[in-house]
Amino acid sequence: MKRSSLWAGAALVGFVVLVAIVGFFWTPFSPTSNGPTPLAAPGWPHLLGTDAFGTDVLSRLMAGAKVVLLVGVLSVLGAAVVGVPLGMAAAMLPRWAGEIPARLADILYGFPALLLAILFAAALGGSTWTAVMAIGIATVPAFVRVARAATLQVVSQPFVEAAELAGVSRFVIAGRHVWPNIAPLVWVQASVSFGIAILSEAGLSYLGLGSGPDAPTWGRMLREAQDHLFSTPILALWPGLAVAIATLGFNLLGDGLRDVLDPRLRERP
Amino acid sequence: MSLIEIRDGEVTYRRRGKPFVAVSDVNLAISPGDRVGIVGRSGSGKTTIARMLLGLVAPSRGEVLFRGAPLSEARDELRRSVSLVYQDPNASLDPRMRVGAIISEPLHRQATDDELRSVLGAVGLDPALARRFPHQLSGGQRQRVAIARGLVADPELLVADEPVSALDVLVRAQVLRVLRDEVATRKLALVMISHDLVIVRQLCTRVVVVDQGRIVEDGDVAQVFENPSHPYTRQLIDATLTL
Repeated sequence: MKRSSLWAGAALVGFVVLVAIVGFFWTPFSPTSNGPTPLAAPGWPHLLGTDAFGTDVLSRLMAGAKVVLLVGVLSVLGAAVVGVPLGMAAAMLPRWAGEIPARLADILYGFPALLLAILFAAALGGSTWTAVMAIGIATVPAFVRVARAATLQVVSQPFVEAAELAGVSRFVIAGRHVWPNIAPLVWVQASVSFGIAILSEAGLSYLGLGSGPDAPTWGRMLREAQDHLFSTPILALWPGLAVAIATLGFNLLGDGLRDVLDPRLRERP
Repeated sequence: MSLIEIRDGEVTYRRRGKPFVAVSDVNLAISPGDRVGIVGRSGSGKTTIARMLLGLVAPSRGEVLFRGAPLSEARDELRRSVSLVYQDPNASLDPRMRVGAIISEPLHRQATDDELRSVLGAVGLDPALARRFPHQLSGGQRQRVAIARGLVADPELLVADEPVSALDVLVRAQVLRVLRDEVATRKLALVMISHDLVIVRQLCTRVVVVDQGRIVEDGDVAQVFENPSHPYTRQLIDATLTL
């Protein structure tokens, strides 16, 4: 059961990554050029049909996967790199010092990704990097909170006190005892955040605050499909399905990884 | 000179915002080679006294001296000279570290194969277990790993906080035998916190009885057991005999 989550998640994420890699080098048609047959039904040669501009939907989905992964990886990685050390510091520093990152995270929590994206878009213009920054900054507090709560739980364990009694420094304790014990929770948070980042990217693109107008993204595809929702509903199905598959995949992968990375949950030899 | 000494020690915690005196007027000196049992009911303050000895709790009044020097000046030396075996071996061993790494930690380097073989052999464990994780060991094996960690850096004082209360009866005997033998072989000072007077009688030469945060009796085991001077000590002994 534990392994099935991992394999299912890995298969879905692997599929999305594979599509993104292939889409980076090759697509059946140009994902940005208009074609002669708008709103064509799925068939040959357009396996998933064409959109209102005659552009091949499959090619746009493949190109969109690349943007989604780029935004997801950069924003979640950036948020984790900033948020996890802050959360650990909030739990391990003396109480007055630890309150500073914790309260900063609380303040940041009040700014949703959308609000930050509007802010950045106003200052820098809508782009992929605007989306990365907005989603990344909005995701930092989640990592701070998870890391802080998990670290507080770990540092209350006798094995940490035993290390302190042996003269091991707090810095070494953070690396040797705290990080390995909170890592599974960070992976789970990363996978959940990745799913949210994919949804956020789609939302920002839908609102025109993400990647530029030429970049084919799943959110933009959803927005364009909206005008033909009643006449050609299948046009909205494909990007919606892509977002769902990617989000589900990362959630299942995170869940499976937690089980595999925790030696307590492994079977005895 | 005493190895560690508490003079007029008092520890105050805050409980629901109000100060709560956990122990007071504690005077206790541990000399090299002493084997001292600290007994008392739950919440009497035995663990607080032991933690004060180890420098894990700072006294709100009084002082703790290590070889005659205040703890503030001798903390590093104290850390090299003491170790603690906890009650619950599940919580005292990092579940993500292998046994070899756990035992090596007090050395501040990876223990050599010979060191691991020696210390694991001393506590009756197969050296091959050094590659295992704690969850792959039985409760008794885990507690012996905890004792091995306590012994590896050659401390002068080993504090054992109810080291067998989480173990079943058969395993208790094995672990106690290991403790008794190692303390004798290495000529360690031992502070044993326990509810169990029988265990204290077997392992210790001196007993300290704690009641309501105060030391009410401190003396030679045989003398205290045969002629207890405090009513609470008498109650404890009577309860043990009744059982």
